[in-house]
Amino acid sequence: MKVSCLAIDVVNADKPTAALAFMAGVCEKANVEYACTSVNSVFLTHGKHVYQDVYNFVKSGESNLSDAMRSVIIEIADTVLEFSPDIIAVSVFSFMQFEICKAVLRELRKRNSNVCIIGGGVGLQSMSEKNITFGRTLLDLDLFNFYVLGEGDEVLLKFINGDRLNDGVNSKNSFNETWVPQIDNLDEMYIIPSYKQIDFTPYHNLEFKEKGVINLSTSRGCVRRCSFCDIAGTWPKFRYRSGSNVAQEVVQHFLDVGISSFNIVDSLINGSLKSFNEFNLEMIKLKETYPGLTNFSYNGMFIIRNKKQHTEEFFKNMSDAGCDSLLIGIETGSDRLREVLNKKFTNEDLDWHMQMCQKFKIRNILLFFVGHPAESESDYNDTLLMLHRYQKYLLDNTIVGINFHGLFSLLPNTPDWDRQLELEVAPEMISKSYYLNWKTTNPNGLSVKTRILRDLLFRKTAIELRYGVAYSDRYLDYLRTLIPNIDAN
Amino acid sequence: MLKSLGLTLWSNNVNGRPFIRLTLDGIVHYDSVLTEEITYLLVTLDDTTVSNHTLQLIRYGKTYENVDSINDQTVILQSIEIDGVKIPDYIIHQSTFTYADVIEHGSLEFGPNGIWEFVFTSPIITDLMDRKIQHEMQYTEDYKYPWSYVLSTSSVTQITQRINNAINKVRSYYES
Repeated sequence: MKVSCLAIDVVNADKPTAALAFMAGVCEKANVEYACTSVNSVFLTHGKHVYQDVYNFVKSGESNLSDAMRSVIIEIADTVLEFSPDIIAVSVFSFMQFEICKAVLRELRKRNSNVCIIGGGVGLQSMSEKNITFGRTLLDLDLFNFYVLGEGDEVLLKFINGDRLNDGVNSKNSFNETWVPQIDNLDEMYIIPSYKQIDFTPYHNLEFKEKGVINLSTSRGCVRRCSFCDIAGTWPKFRYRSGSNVAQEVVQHFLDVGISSFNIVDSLINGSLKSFNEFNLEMIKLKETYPGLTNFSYNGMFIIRNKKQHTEEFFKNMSDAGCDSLLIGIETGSDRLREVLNKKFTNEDLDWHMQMCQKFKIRNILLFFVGHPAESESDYNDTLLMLHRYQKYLLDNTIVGINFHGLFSLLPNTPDWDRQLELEVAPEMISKSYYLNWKTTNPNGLSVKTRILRDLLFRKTAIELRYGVAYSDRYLDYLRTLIPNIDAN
Repeated sequence: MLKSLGLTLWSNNVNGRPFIRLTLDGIVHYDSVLTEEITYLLVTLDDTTVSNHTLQLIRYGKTYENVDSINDQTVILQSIEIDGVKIPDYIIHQSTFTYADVIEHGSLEFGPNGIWEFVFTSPIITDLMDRKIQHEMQYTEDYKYPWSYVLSTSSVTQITQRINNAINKVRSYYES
């Protein structure tokens, strides 16, 4: 049995996504031969221009491939099939990958119509305009033989071992579309990913690590219910691994591939304070046992809590364990709007977080977006004021930059989607852009023009204050797809 | 917007303790003996308008009695913080200490009587960040990667210019 693992993952150029390593881990557990291909990695090796093309293609939802992109896709299909796989396991990162996924699968089918293709990943769970999942859409196009909805770990293992009748594994013979029941006991069921075949060379990570950065998954789901987020659609319940179990995985990867820098890919790394504290304390101990782990570091998405929950000792343990940087979803500088977004923390809590991170030398990347339907001008101004207020933290790298989502997108399976009437919005695709997928039904609501201008003014203010905003150039190139004929040059 | 500048000074006692006068744009904020080994001095800066500023530490009153065969009465500027955040040392070293006919660049140790001077522009953090960016460009080329948070001196200007162009085009697109 030979399995080709293929990730449809045109996302970023700093580090590989987690999917391939997860599928590789399953293949190792099944004890089968496997090969790994990442669409993102292959495009990256073809240079900046082709990569920008494919990025725009993915973000804009376009369906016309350029010649350059087409030739890379042919190369990908050839690479996958060169291995002569019995099964191709495809992971689709998000709904935005749909068109590129289709293009790659078509090339595969053109070359080999018999190979068994099974798809999975969050991208397949999204609904098309006809209200059917992307997984089902690709099955109907005969591009998949099977697709998985929900967590793929165990069912993919069973599938490779010949057991194809499991909840969540859908095919043309399925009576109803089913989902894999969410795994309750992650410590027992979690399959450790493998990085032995993952190529880090096309990537240049932002964490300044020479040997690359490995992804680590410590939990699934989220303890919060932020109004704009659709994570609960994928993982309704928050489930986490014990801190000691995660620490053991760190040791395994270190022994396997010698990498000691980790990117925790969870929705949040501190959802369970008990497990997160245990992980930090365990890593402090393990660094003494394994001298090579002295430089162990991790980063990840982090939720802000008040100082009673996140005490000074809590931050100290994080720092001693190797916490290098955190991505924090601030979203807005307005306490009022943050409450509407159900973020459950205040600017006072955030001030405490910054003070502690400064003290213990933990770097932060701030996540923002603008243009939520409930964002008033005053809320927006509070966001700009926050940039001024926190500018000082750039000096000592307590803040290293901003990851700016840009314009608010109204996503299905989110609390905001369910309260369209209250927010006075209606979904509407504008300029084929996922960012502009809603209109206001209130004459005084946020117009498209106001949203775009708020986005640009936020970027301008941030850059003028010397915040690094990753991918600024790429976004300005992408602006052309937001508004016809606009060219930021 | 008001900013507070906090200076931490170390000094020793050699037949008496040193005198320091701290001025910002010629206005005296401290003028006295440094009675403790570590002294923390605070200055408030009006950072509202774009303007040049000069921060001075004037060391005076040292005589031959403050030097013996082993010890020399000295003042050392250990750090400067802005609103509680330490300014990187390499920026503080972009200063001069002038005594007699000598101008020492980057010296933060004040042996003889003299004037230490640090010139900066408001808004101060933006000025300091420009110096940080310039400094870091010597050691990393990460600013060349589009996904990097590291800025270069030219990328700030270029991106701001592109955003300004985009803003103008968005406005005219919706007005037309």
